[in-house]
Amino acid sequence: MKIKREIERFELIFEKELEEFLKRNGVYDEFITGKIKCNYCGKIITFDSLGVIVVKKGKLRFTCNRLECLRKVSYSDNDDG
Amino acid sequence: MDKILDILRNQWQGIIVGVIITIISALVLKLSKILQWIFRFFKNLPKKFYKNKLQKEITIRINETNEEIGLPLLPKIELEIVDISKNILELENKIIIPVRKEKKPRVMAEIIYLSIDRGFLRDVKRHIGNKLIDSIKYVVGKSLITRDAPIKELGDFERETLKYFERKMENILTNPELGKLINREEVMLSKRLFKTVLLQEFFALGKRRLGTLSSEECKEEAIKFVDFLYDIARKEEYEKEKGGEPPLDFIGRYFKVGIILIKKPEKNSLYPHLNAVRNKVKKGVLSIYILGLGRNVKDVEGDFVKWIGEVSKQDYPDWRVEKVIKYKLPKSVTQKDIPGICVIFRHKKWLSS
Repeated sequence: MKIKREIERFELIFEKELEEFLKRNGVYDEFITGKIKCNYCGKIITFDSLGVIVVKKGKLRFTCNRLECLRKVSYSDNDDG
Repeated sequence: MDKILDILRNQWQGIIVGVIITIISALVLKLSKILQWIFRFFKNLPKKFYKNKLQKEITIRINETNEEIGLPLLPKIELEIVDISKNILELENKIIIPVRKEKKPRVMAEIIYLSIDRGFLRDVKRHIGNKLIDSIKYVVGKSLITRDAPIKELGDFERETLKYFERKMENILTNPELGKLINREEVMLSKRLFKTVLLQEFFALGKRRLGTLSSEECKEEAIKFVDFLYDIARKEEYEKEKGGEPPLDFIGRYFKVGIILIKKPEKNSLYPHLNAVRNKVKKGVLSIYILGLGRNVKDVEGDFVKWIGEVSKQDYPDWRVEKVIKYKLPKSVTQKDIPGICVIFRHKKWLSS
């Protein structure tokens, strides 16, 4: 029985680049003024509560670091493979 | 004529000077690009070290677990550093994890959590229910972080990672129902029934139930299956409570499993176990897990496996020895390592019935 092993890729973004990354994608101001909300629970996201970011159709989708929301990311997003 | 020659000479000189300037500027430009590249390379070096170290730590743990289970239950993890100068479309569908350099354990905990979620549990999730999934996630995650070492033997990095992992799963850990499941699974883990039997069977369930809807009946049976393995894991306690051995066969609608525990090291003692294999096949199990410890390991690995191989060719053509997993019981259970063995004898329908 040969079972294919899946590969999962995660991208790391370091703190210093995160600010620049948000600026380049035009969401920095929204982010620091508390206008960015978690894609799943709707809570405002800060640098401390940021769990992961997923790029969907060229737009950034933010998820907070709550277990319930991260679980939804891992089951629904990044399913390109 | 002289004037014309002078003009031409001057023009040639001008051209030569122009070419030299162009070459020098090109070299300077090239040099500056090389310098920029060197600067970027050294600037990114700590990040690359960080990423490589993290990937190594995770890969070691995942590979150990997969090897121990004998199945690629957890995916291969590849980490990349986001290049912010690139077009965002190149990151389409990617999960980006923010990193604080000083918080490596936190990132590790996050990646371990996401990795477990993205392994075999994705396929089986809807068939065994959230409670069981969450408890398994915790036990597998803890096992990955600690590599099954007792908490008091953990290094600072593992301790910190476990701390972040537990914080992440706090809601689960404070739920009494889930606490009970986690407790049972940890007892099973200590007796090698968690990874070797439970996770393998859940993996197979996910494959067998592909294309089917979830059912409460299946979820309930999954919990009963956990209880069944738990009773075997705490066999001595069970015998004191109930006055007899725990059942060693589970034949339900979704799980059909037989367990054989080989305890006695005496010569010829394997014969009853050979009969047990025949009985279990007759009863309709799809997997038989033959577990031996200590001095039995050699007998099981040698004669027993040979016998099963030979008999299956003649009498059970649809069965085969799928795996022989050798392991050591964790130190948390015994003061010294005890060698163990698990022979998995399986029907070919295991993944497809």
